[in-house]
Amino acid sequence: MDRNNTNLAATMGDLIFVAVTLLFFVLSAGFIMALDRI
Amino acid sequence: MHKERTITHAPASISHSPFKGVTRPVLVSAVFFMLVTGLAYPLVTTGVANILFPDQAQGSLIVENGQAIGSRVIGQYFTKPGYFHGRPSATSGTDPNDPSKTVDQPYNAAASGASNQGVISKKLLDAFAERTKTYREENGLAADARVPVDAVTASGSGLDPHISVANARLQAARVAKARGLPEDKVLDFVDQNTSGPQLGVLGDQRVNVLELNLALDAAAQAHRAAQ
Amino acid sequence: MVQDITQFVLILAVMTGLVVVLGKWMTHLFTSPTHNIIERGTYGILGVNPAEGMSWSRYGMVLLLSNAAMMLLGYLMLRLQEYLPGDPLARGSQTPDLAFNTAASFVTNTNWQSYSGESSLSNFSQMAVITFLMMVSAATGVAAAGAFIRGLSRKNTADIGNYWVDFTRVTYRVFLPICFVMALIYVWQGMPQTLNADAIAATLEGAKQQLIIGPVASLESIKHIGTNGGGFFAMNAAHPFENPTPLTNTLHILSMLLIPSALTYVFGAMILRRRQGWAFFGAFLVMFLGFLVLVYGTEQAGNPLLTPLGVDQTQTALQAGGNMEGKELRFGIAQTSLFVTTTTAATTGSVDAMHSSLTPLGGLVPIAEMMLNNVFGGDGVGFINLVTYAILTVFLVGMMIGRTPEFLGKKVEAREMKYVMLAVLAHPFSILGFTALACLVPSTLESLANQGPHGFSEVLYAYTSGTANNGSAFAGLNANTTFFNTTIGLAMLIGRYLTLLPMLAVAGVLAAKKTIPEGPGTLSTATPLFTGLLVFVILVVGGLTFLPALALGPIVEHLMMLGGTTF
Repeated sequence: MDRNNTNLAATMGDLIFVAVTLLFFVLSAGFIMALDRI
Repeated sequence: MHKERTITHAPASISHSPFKGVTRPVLVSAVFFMLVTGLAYPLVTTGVANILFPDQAQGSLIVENGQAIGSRVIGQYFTKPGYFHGRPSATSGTDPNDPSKTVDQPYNAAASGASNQGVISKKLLDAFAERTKTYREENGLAADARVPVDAVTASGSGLDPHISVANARLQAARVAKARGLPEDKVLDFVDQNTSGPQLGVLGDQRVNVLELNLALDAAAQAHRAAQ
Repeated sequence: MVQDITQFVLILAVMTGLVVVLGKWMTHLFTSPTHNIIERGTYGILGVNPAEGMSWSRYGMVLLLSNAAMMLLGYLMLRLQEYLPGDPLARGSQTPDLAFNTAASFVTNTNWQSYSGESSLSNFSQMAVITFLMMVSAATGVAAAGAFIRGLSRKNTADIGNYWVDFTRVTYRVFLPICFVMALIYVWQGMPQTLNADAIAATLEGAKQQLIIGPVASLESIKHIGTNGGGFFAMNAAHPFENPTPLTNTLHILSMLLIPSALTYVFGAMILRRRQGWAFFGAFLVMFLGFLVLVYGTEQAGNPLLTPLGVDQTQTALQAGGNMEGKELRFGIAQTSLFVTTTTAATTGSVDAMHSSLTPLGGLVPIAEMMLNNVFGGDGVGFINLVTYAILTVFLVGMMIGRTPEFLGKKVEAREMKYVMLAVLAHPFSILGFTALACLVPSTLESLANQGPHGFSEVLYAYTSGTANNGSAFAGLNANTTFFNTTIGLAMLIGRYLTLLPMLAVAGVLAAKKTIPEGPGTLSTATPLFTGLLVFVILVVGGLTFLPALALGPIVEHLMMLGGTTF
């Protein structure tokens, strides 16, 4: 039971941090497009 | 005026659209350069290094009777009166009685460490006071004798193999007495194990404590064998 | 003292000589139209056309996305460490927040480590993740600098180069060959280079000493030449296996300064104004020397609170003296001071001594250099930062004398200035914003190793180091918490990309302009006067932005030290 919980926490963590990473790079890509329009 | 010079030839085409044809190179380059720089480069370096400098590549280990007794470049913890002592070390290790806690374990080469205390830290100043007192007592110095700074400060790595010449000289009397040797003989050993600045200018004079103690042991063993 | 100064002069002279040698080599690399066979093969594998020119936005996008892929690959391998080969000491995997922080850290050339190498990473990870990201992050920075310089050197075009070509050439023609040779020199001096994980020794007093070893030298060379800084071991270049002799220490220092200084030559050669290149080199050197003198002076003077205890800190023939807490004997005060100045100047962040144990003003030097972020600076980005400030200086001066600002024959107009200000402001916003946030969060107190002002300095240092992509630390801070891993991770990403991308935009828009001929009112930027103005602007802008924060940390700590207050 405990291992399932640790695995769940770890997978949640993975999802969150991969999402954060992707979000940062997507926003930065948007930043490039925005800079082009200044 | 600056001379006109074309820096590069005109490119075949200029890409303005940021995303076109970018997926394959982006994904492939990550894996490709990981293989080249993260595996090929270190592995080739390892192969060549072990051919050219096998002793250093494996950690500069000192081997006696088939057993490694330390490394030439890593310090060890010495407490006995017959050995020169190294600098204080702030490394710690797992508590043998409780794996979730740590205890002080000087010269732990599996976990380099330092105190990371700033100069106005009370904890640090208390440690200095204690180390100064201990150093004077161990080496038979007067209560107000000045102690070399490297003898009471912890090193950056916790594994510093050296001490200063000043530090070694103050310990010589104690070591000589414990081993029943004349002090100048011991000072000779210190000189032999002192390295000067490299290329004449780089770095400081330093005494390798492990090599010094090994030399003393070897001489003692030779002396016993001769008798 | 004399011997110390001799060392400094000698090492800086060698650095200057290397500027010309490597400068010429790198100029060729950025401008030559011919590709060698290995490079052509690589372009084939990647599926890119090396003849394609890129606008600044495409160049930036390709750079950004390729870095994203590399960061995610690194994250993946760190999380899967326990399932991958090469982990005989069974170290498990890093937690998601730590893996995020580590991957972000190494892809941004920061190399901030909330983990300790000996206990957290297998030899496989040290190679396939750490050495890999060190190499590619450095190549990214240098490629970006090449594109930036190319953009400044061109006119009437949108093309600033091809990212894949720049990146591949920098990796193949600069990093791999130099790192390989340097690694072998390092092994000769005593660095390990093996796939074995440890060696067990029985010490003279009968204890067991487990010596952790691995492929150290190959990591160490790219660590410094790539201004990365992440240590194989926790105590980084203070550890004898990462830095066994004064010669290796010297080579580390030269390696860190090598590319940042050489880029000034590349700049001068590519824009056909050699004097400008040397003027920028001069700006770097002047600031560097100021900081070196400060840290050397205060460290040699030592800790005044030790003298009443009867500790001898005088410099004699038999001992280095000075403040030796957290320092290694083989380097003493002089070499350590030079290393401290260099590592935070060149935003490497490796340490050969514990910065947290430096005297308050000694510790102010690394913080200040990271805050300024352009005393030589990191590979590629340091040079770009300096030019950012040069443009800012030109603008300020132009406003003061009522002329349109001009830089390298191009008019500097509103659009470019907006980009410059974005780049300039992202840096302090991240540092001060995150530091303030951390001060409001109660759990921060548990992470501190020191009480009082030095504790505040630990936090300030962390976000300064992350944003500046330096990576050194006041290492007592326990940053391996979800809060710090996440916020420092974000600070590193912001500090890297949000300062780089606007400057690529500057290069792009300047490349598209036409040049205007020099006239009697043109302000020359290659004179000692301008160089002095440039340094002045850097120090004033940096000072105004950061002095309040510094006052709460190192400055008040210094005053307390003089007053004898302890915590």
